[in-house]
Amino acid sequence: MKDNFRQAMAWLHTWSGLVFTWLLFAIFFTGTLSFYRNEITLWMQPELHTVAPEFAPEAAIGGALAELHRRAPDAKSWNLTLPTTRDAALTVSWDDGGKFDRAATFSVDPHSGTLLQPRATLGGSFFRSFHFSLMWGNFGIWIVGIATLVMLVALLTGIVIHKKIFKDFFTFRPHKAQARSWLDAHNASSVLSLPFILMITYTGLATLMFTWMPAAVGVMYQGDKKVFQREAFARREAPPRDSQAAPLAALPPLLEQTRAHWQGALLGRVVIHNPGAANALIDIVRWRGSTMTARLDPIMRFNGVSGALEQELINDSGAKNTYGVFYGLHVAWFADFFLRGLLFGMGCAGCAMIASGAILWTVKRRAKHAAARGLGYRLVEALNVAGIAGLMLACAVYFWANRLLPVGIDGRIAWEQRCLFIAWLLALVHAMWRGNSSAAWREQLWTAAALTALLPVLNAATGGLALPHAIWQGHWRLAGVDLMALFFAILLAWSGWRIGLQKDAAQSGRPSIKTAVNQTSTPIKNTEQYV
Amino acid sequence: MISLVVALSYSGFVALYLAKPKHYREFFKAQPSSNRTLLLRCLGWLALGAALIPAVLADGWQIGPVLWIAVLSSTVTLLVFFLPYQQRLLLRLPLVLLPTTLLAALVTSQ
Repeated sequence: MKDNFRQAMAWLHTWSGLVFTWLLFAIFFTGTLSFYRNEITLWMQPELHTVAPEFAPEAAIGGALAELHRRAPDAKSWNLTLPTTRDAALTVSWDDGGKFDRAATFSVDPHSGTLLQPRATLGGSFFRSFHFSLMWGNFGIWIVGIATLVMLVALLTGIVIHKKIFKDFFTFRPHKAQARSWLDAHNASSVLSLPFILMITYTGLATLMFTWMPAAVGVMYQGDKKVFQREAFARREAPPRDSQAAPLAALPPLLEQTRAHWQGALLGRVVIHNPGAANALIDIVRWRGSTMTARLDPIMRFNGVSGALEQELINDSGAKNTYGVFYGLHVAWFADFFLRGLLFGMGCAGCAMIASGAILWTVKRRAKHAAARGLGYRLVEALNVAGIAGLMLACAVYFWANRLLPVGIDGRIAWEQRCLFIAWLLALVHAMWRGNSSAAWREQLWTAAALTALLPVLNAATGGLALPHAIWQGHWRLAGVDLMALFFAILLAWSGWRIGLQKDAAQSGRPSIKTAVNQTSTPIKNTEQYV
Repeated sequence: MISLVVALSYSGFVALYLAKPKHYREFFKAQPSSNRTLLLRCLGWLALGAALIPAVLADGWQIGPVLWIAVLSSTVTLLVFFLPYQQRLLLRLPLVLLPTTLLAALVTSQ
């Protein structure tokens, strides 16, 4: 019975993992990149590279408000996102009451208030959107939700079948036979980062739970999600606009008062409701990175005409706090430079876990199927190449497209993404057409490595702040992206080189993959042989 | 403080690694007594637990525990993946890492 149970779990782990593996890798990889969303966006807007941050941008607010008066005098609300440690520019947007419009936003220099002209790009936000919606709206969100559940199933069944490694998880034998070391890599990367992977998978479900579990809201609010959202989170709701006009209160004293009240905390946003009307309200929101709970930042609400403090809105609900912690853990706005690096590293470990699992599936079956070269086996091999190496290649292409597409063209944002998807599709076609999987791996890994390695050069050549200058000036958020590109380039090239070595060994008759794979059928015992 | 979290966590895992008789023999070329194994295991767990203290001192009770778990996971991952390549160096590292980070933490907290 016990063995049957483990066998059943092994079967479930193998096949649920395999079917969703490429989707999960894409979600995990783009999600991991999203930890550096702001930094990637900054890299992709070289126009902002030399803007220095200013956490008390009082001097710039006048310019921003003047521009808002000119562009959107009758807006429902104005939104000023103040510079933080991760974003130097002062970002301004307005809300006309309709859907969010990217055109209704602009950036100003936080020192002078002069208008900045960054190029149109989704930047790092593309990776974030892709990782929960696949750029496919609600349909994509549902697919990601299902994949996330499968991920949890694969994690839990994985714990059951690999439970031996908890006893001795210091096991990684890179020089052993191929299947053995892939299994070690799969086990080690998953066990060691398991706390992170379980956390991020589970909290990922929590972030979009109102989409995936709509029943309760549907019953309690007669299906009106807006009313629920307003009651639960949007405490910034303001009365309808008064027809009587009145000048807006001066902002700098209010910012000063709020900073003093929160003992010098960094401010995140200023939201001005009904600007220019007699019933205007000014909300000053604390910076979202100052606590672990997300979406529940305290707000100081002022009368928009007299400037008198009306109330401080603080979250006082345990249920909301719980949700806020789950959400906060997933998006990690609280993470500083060091902790963010650790989270990124563990995200990479998660990617390694998924990729090594996918590769393990083919390595274990290579001896048996290589001769027959069945369609299913070839398809899995091609999808492995395109899903792992091809995705990284496509992401590198996205960075290139960002710099090479002309700044002024229509639909620039869409074209950047199209370049990524076209490159990804070409990678799949290449992997299918190449047939020989080790050649396909090598060619895609080398191409991705070359494209990634040249990103710092591209950055310097197309108007960005060059890597040596960025380091010299201590602009680490920018230099970090270039350095990360170099790191990934080394990793990709090293993988390509390793695969090349194995191929050479196989040809020259030295201890080769073939003999290595043949050996593996004996040493892997117990349940692991079903994996 | 954060470097002390890293040092304690890393050293804890090295102690736990050496608490396995197989690994102990490999490194010290001698059979460990059962007392020695137990001592290493206790020291290892103690160091892992103690790493929470500087983590909380550095980042408070909200984010400190997150930092602690993140450091635990990351150090053991790096340890496991690099052990096959640089075993002697990595297993001796705590002897340098612990005193220097402890000293640094004491000096900076004054």
